[in-house]
Amino acid sequence: MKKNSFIFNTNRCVGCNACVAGCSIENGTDFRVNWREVNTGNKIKHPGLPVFHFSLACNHCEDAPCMKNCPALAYTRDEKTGAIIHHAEACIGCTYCTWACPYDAPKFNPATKIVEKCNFCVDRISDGKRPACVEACPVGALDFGLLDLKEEDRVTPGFVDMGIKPSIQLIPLREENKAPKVENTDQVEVDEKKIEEWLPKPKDKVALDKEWTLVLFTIAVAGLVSWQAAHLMGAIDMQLIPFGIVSVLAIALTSLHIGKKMRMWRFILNLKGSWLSREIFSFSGFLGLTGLQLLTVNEMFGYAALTFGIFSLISVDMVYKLLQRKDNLVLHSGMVSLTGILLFAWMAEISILIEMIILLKGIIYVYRKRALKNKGIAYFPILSLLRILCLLIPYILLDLQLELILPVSLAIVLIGEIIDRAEFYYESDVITPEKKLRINNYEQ
Amino acid sequence: MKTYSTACPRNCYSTCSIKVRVENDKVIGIDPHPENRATPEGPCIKGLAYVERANSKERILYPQKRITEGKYERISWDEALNTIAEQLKNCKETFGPHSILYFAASGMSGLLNGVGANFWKLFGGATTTYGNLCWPAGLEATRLTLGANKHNAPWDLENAKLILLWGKNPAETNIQEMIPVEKAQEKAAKLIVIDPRRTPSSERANSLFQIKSGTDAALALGIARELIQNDWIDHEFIEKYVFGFEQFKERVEKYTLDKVSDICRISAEAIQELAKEIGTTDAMTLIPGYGMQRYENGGQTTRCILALSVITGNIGRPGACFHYANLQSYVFDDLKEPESYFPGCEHPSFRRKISVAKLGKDLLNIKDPEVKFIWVERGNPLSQNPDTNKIKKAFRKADFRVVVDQFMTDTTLEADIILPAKNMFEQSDIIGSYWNPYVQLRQKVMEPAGAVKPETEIYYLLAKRLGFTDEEIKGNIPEPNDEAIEEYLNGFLKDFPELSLEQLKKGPQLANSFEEIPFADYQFPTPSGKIELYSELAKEMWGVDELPDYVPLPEQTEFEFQLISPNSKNRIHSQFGNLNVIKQFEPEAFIFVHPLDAEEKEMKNGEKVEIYNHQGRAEVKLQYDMGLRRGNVVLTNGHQSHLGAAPNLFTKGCETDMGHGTAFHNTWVNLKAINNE
Repeated sequence: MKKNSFIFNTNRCVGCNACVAGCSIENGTDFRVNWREVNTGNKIKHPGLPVFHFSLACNHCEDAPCMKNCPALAYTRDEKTGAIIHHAEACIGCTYCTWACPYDAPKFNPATKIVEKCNFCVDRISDGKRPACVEACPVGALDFGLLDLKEEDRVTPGFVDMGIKPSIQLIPLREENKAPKVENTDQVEVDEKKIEEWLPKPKDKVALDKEWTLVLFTIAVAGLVSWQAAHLMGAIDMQLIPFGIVSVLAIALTSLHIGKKMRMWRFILNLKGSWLSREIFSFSGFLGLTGLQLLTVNEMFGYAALTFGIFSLISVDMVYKLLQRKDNLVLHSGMVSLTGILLFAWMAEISILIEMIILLKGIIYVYRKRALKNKGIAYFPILSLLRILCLLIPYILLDLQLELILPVSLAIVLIGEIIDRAEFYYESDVITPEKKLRINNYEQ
Repeated sequence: MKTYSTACPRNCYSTCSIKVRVENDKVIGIDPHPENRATPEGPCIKGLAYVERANSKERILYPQKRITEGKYERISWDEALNTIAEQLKNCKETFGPHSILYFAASGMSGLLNGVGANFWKLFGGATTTYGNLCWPAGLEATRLTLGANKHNAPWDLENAKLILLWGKNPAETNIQEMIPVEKAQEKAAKLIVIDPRRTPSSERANSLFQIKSGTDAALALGIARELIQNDWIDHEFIEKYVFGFEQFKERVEKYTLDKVSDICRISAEAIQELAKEIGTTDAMTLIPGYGMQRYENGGQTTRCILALSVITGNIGRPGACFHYANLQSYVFDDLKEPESYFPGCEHPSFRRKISVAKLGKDLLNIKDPEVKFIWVERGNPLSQNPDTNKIKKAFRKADFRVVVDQFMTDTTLEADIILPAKNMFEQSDIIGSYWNPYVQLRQKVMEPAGAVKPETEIYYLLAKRLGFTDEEIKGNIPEPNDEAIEEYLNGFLKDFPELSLEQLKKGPQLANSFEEIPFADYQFPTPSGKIELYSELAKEMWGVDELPDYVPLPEQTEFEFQLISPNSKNRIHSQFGNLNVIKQFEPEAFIFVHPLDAEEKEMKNGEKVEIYNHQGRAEVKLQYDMGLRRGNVVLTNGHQSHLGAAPNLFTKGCETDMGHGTAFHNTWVNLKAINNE
């Protein structure tokens, strides 16, 4: 099927940024929030590799992950042109779409506190004109047309093809441009490791310093759900006031993470497609029903709340499925479902469950650390030791009949969980064109 | 909203035709103008930046008077012009008109620029400069050899089978040239680049010959020797149209492969391979850049390179030419570049004794009279002429300085009075190009912003204040209204029935004299009527060898790094760098250094380092560039010293071997790590 597409010829682009300027002038965007960017491969000019560019904005994918994952239904598709349109008035600024898109198309604007994005110059193309970026390209490297795109149109080093059918045709470098032939008798061989050292570090989209609120929030979800479950089983006391305080704190933590707090209600509009919507919906349901349970002392509310609670734990873990992991492993010991089970087992004092979950978490943890170590990625051995100790000490003491009071043992367990969860964010990231174009990523 | 046809008047090859969208006297958009066959896809990022430039809050819109260093205050035109007129009268009476320096540069092209010279002539003369910062060595070399500076139309490049970019980086400096380069490559032409740097243009090439900077002439002569030895030359062409081949053949004898390999630092096999490509490919377009002639040996170097096009017969055919400068659109000039740069051709009232290459030194030394009053328009000599510190000293030695500009620069910061300059949208003028062959109208599309007055009006008002008679003013300085400007321009057009303002308002036009393939008639306006490899004129005028030769640059022991200051895609000299649309990509100057060189000096990427030599010092952030030859460092042209590092803080101010050009790249510096805490 033919669709409106960008056509990018890698042989023609010289990285002049006129497309970026053309876009920002047409759309009146802030210079710090360019909808289009020219991404460059091999900026440092590694002698064995070509320097080339990708001018990328939104690729208006057929299976657009921004639209699918947006909890607030802020994205729609313009049926006539195929453009994926972002609606500013509906956006809550949660930035989840900026994680979902592998092309770094949605941009969070700190001034407006919402996301914005290329709209394919939908008005221009509806009028039969070319998008402003295409019009601005002085060498015809960026073009626009109605195309029947194939798989091979997206095969070029450094470009992510995740099967989401982006509307872009990439014309790869010709053979003679793939490896530079340079004559210079003074050229010396440089150790690849050295070059790696010289490369500037890429920016991390998911960074622990930005996401600490999420560390605490997700741990709070696990804590509240396990507490409610243990209480429902009659193993532990639960009062409305302390439960209410923790709940309010948890909600406050999520709200810190979104740009438009007054639109928070929009979080739950996309139950059909977005795990983020499901997370917020199920967690809110859990809080409400638990409140009712505590007020009415009706167990039916309690069971209903637990169902919502379990679903919210699963949702939290699913929310993060779209991130890239440095360890490339499926399971992570810091998943909130596992934390929830561990905390529940402690509070309910089910020793077989405690043993099994400690064993499971321990194995996954050690396995991951080994994987990171083997890949030459920082794995923080001392912190890891502390994390393992936090898992083992309360259990060993329990085993030795040296019982700690529950708050102390829970505090130790929680420290371990927070370390694990913090590592989860530290080791997660989003694919971006910048990262894909790191020279060690596209070398063939 | 209205759309107008206009053209970009910057000192740039491309001279793009553009369409400008105007709404409520405000520029709101710049669009491509496909009628210009050389720039059909539109301008570069700088052209797009006019939307910001025309509306910038930073623009100088009112006359300004200096309060203290760096501080200016708005004054009225009356106050500004009365003060200037007073100063001019005093200077003239006390020291004579030659105590005034009239300095104009290449900031905006147009026929109306001649009004300035007319004014100063009526004033009784002034001191002016000779020479040029940019390209005269190559122009003179080409003129001496071929007799004229013209080359095939830009779009003919797609017919070439071999494109040799010799020290040119069109991807940054003439971006639309990459269109025919790519078209030729799509038709299997080869692209070869010779450059001490790996550039965006060399990324497109089949191979890059990364020779040592300043040794280009040796390489050319080595190739010539190979061409002759392998009989890859065009005997018939040489026989009929070339003067001095036998002597040239003897000259190249000593440039053996081993010797050249040693000088240029590329392998002997590489030289052979390059010679073979040149000698066995039909239709070579050789495109030298202007950078490689900005050395002391630049003129001779260009003659050596041009000899390759000559002996292989790659002149005057489709796809085959020496593509240095195309002055075909300069139809209104009585005297073309480079001859107009030479002292002696000016009106006798002028004292033309200051070399642009040695502006600071010459200004400090000039006597009888000394320069007391400096007038600068269309230029920023404090950042663009060599040896900034010396020029600053010379400017401060004078009593009074007037600078006309659109934005604050290194030079306006030295002014006693700053006058606001018009921009390209506020007055019509006719411009040519040194690359594409069109005559174009840079059309007035709006009234001047604020209190801006075009230079012609400033001169008109000054002339009135200085008591020039109406008779003198008439014909020399147009009255300040649109009709008078059009009448003045029509004065130039009257000899060209094919060019009318009416037509020019619609788009770019070709003069009848335009040749798509110049020299196809094998007419070479040299003394011998042939292409002169052997030029007596060269010796007579410039004291160089009659034959092209390699003249090594001075041996360097004191400073470790050779500084080259190529042009960047982000600026035309010192223009555009102040705009946000540009600053987002290049917020400040960087010194580019090979990481191994940096490591030896314990300097790291992103850190501030010190650059210094006898001319100056500055601190600047370092950026790794593995595409450089070790020992070469790069600071791009057009950075200004009031904002940090600028290349001309370090340049010495020496002329090229011919043409009175400027040897910017004869510059050596040291680098030092500094405490970044």
